[in-house]
Amino acid sequence: MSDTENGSAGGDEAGAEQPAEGTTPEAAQSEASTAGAGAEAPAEPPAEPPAEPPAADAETASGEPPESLVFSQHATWGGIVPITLLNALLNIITLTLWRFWGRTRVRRYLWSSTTVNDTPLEYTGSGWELFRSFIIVMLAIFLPIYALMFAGQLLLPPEQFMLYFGLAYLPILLFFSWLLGMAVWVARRYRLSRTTWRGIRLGQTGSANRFAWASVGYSILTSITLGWFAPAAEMRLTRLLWADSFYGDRRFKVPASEEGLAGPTYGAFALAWISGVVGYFAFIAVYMFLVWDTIEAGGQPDFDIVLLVKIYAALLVYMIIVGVFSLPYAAALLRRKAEIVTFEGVTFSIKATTLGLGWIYAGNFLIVALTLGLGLPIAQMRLWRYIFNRLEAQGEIDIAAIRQNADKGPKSGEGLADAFDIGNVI
Amino acid sequence: MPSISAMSSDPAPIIGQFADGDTAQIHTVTVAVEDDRLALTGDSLRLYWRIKRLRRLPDRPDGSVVISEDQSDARLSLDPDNAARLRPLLPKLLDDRKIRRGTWMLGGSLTALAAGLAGFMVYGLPLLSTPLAHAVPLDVEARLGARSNQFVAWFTDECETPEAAQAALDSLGDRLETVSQSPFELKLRIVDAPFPNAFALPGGWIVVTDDLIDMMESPDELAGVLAHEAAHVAQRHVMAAQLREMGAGVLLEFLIGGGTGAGQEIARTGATLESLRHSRAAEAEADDYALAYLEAADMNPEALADFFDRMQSVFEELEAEAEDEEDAAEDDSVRSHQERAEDWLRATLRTHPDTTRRADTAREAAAGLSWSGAAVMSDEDWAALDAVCETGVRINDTAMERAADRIADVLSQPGKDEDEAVSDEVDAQPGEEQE
Repeated sequence: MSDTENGSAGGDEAGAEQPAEGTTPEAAQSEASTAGAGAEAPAEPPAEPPAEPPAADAETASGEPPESLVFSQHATWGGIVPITLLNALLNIITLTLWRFWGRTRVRRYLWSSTTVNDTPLEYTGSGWELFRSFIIVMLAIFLPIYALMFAGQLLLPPEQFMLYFGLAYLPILLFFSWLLGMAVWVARRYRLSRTTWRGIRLGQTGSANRFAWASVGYSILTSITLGWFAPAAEMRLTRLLWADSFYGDRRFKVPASEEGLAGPTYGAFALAWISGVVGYFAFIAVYMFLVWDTIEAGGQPDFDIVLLVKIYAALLVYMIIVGVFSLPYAAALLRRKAEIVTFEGVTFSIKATTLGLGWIYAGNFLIVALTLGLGLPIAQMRLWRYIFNRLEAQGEIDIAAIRQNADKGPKSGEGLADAFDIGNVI
Repeated sequence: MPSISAMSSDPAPIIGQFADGDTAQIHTVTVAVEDDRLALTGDSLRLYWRIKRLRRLPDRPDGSVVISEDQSDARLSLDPDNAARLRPLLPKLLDDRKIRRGTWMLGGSLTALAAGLAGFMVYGLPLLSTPLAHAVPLDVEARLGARSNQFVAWFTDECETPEAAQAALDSLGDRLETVSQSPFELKLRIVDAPFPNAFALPGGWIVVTDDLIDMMESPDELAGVLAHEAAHVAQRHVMAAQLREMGAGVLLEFLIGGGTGAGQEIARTGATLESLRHSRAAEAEADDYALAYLEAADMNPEALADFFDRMQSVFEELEAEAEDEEDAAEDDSVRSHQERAEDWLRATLRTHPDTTRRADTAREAAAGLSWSGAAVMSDEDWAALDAVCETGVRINDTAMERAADRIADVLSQPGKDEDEAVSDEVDAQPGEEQE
């Protein structure tokens, strides 16, 4: 969830045409505001006479007074539950084919219940786009992969199959982690391009390939360092994504250097890491205790159902403990991600706390578990609401000078992400 | 907010918020219909949208209505009050029923598509799989079989089969191969495994575990079991099952993607149950063929039923043992909650295949079949076979090698289905097996 924070909001209308085309010539007035965009010089007040205080805003390029940004989230259980129920019903009777449209509805609700300066975000993506891109990915990527694997099994001599497989294993693993990175990038680009605010699109440029290789490299570094590189990896990837993110014609800014990006998260990470290691050994100890009888007798453990249930229960306890001790890290990550992003001189912060986030995650865990996953939209709503109600911006900005993003984004959605089952993450 | 104008002749203006899709600015505009156009008038702008080209976007949670022109990024939003006043002027565009109709039509079409796909999976694939299996070139199936056999060798130890025993086994195989007109040479192997089972791989490989042979009391029963497996080979059931599973796998992947939610699990479980049903059908067909082969090869046709009976009695013994334990524990009347929970779990998961029914069916059919009474093999050969694996086990690989292979195998998910080819193995659970 490298883009869970303020940014996951993303995008604009599917096939929206050039903005100029939408407005008839009579609208030409608004063109005037282009003139001074980006210029320091006080723009000659354009033809539009602002009815507001004339003096203060003379310094902005647009001639409008600068605004600070106020985020707010109004999603309610009453709003999300009907959507969740309808989605659950339709997902079941369509054998999950509804999921693309269902996801679109959830996003539309979350976006439109999120306001910035009292204007809601708009999600302009459609279920068709998600469906189409899923089909494309299935046919163009996964079917050939299956075919290749099957052909390999048929054509390679059986005695050497495992040898070939062993040789191909590393490249295959690399390929799939690269593909996963592509999926993350492509899905985020789609979501951003389908998010508008005041009719202006967000967007993402840059290279999916570069991001995918970076994430492959960081994963390798993370495993070499026994996980200690993970916070740096997470923050560096976040930086890469935001460095290429736009609202309208303006780019988000991130620190010039990668140094110290993840610094403030390392204390919390150490706690999570240590609890993970200690918990792991504790789990192994419990496991040994459970199967000790048979091991002592020199036999193989008899994995009957009762033993398995006990082992899984121990595993669950282990995961809950690690989850609890990872909360400070999750909160620190959220705070840090907001800190490193600026937009037109405005800085951001998310007042996420360990306890607050813990409450959200614990509730979400129960909601998802008790509804067998069908309650996922409610869980997503709770997290989304938590983030946007704690997202604050410091500084003022000449919003009226921001122009439309010329990049309309991809034609279709996030099929690759769906195939990896990460498309559900907002 | 609408300024409630006092003039009765001039209704209050309709006020909306307008973003032009070009700058990040909100303009307050008055909205009016002029002929075939919608006029938007603000402090600094005036523009017209052709009503024909208008489109309505999804309402906002507060009930606000959002309108745009075809393809445009511009947005006009009206709060519920103003939208209500615009509604009579744009009755078609703002008709809520259209939205609901759209939802139901979409839901309906997707349900139909899903039903079509499911129908194809349930009825189409099985119908196609048999002719397709017969169309698979023999050498392709042979290759697949050789590879599956290789995998079996990785996970089991081969029994040291004395020459005489192997010869007896081979001659049994030859006779069944002839009567079944199998397209493949039948290759019989005995492996050391901690459960009784027999299964056919693609390409004519038939694998029998030593525990199964231990369980049998006469070579006739072995002949019955082998005839059943030979039927799977000759009828190319294994190939058909693989094709079915592959097709279902691809379709299922198409349906549910990589998802893991409840809907996905329902679809997956449905597909598993469906494949169980087919394997049961294939078992019944193999039973029928097996009897025909036994008669043609002049072997004891009752042996199959005998074998099923024996399996049934093994189940019952196991069950009785378990119950005895429970009773014993019950007498102590100190059974903890935990023990009760364990018993409940065991009882719930104790499943019975329809062995009794198969025994009855086989016995009935066998009654009409002839048999000269000739022994299927000599007593010495049978004794030799029976002792296989007790004399020695040939370890195929070192434990290390096998562990490495096992890890590699787990990682090679896509290949996994093929290795479990055997339809028989589907409900293999310790203590039960297919003949």
